[in-house]
Amino acid sequence: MKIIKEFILREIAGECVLVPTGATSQEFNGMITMSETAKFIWENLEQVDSLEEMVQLILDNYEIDEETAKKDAVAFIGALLQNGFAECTKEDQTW
Amino acid sequence: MVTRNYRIGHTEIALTMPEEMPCPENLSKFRIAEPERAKEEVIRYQIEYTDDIEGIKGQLLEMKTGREIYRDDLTVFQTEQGECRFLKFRGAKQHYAVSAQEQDNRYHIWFDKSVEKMLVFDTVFLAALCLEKQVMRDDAWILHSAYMCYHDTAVLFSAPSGTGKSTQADQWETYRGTWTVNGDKSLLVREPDGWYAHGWPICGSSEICNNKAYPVRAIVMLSQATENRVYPLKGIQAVRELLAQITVNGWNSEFQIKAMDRLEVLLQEVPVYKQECDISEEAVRCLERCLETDSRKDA
Repeated sequence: MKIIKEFILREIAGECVLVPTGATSQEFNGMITMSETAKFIWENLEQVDSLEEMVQLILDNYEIDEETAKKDAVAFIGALLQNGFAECTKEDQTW
Repeated sequence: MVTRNYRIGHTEIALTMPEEMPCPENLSKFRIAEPERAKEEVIRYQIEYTDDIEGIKGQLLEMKTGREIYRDDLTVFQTEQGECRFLKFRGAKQHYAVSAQEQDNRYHIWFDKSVEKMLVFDTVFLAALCLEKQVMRDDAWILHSAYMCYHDTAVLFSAPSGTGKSTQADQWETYRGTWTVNGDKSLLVREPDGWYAHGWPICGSSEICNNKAYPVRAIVMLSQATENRVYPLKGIQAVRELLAQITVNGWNSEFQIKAMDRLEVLLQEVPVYKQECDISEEAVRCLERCLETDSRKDA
């Protein structure tokens, strides 16, 4: 998985947000508020090779059950793909 | 050619341009006889007409380094000397101005000769000066707001265009005798003793533009409603609403990070309210109660 748009990830007013920058700022307005898990997924999206690996990484770092970790990962990554912020790098489009 | 000096907030600019070139009247309110800051701190502009804007664009594009940011009214890219901008009216085919940064504090601007008569309009002329970028060097930024002077303090009504910012400021003038410093923009500056709103030479369709600075008492994010209500706006919601009304060069991440850093400080130091309101004296009364209660708490 690869992030294909430009965003600044930062904390502001106690919340973690993604703010579009560069050419992306001309396509999207506003900012995206992220949960702690979403921030973790964003930071590690390009470091892992599959959804299963991402879920395992979440489980290694957060005290949540597997079902919740998978649900969070699928929802957030799905939103990233749907909005064109990220794209699959594997030929079979599984990651 | 003639050189004129201006001071906007703490930012000083010097414009060298043909003597007969029209200049927005509002800018003259910011004119100073001589620069007050050190020579290297003054932003200098060489401004001229051209009948070959396409040729100038072509030369600059040959020096382009990196990618181009494009939107309907503006194209931005970098050269080794700095930032270049091509400006266009929305929907127009041709660019009307080109701005090229030649050194850290030097810019060259060309206006297409055909827009000569339009240069009296502040938005047309001043857009080429990239002023939002210059004031950010002095840690200042522009808030889209009707700037009202209330008991020698600044109350800034901010909201997207068409919400009724200047209408609320007008209501205060009518019912409380306040006055409006600028109907559409204010320049926010963090001074050693707190935040100040300064005047700004662009005022949109409000036509109210004055060069005055007052300490900021409150920022009020407006929205239209049938019932009047005022409440403090905090946290991420305040960031979201304010950031949408601050002039930020979205393509420049350094600029954005700086703006967000300043915004965090502002939110800790300046009361930000949400006012849901109609057009009535009750709307004025509702905010007035809130401002007076807060000033009693401060005392």
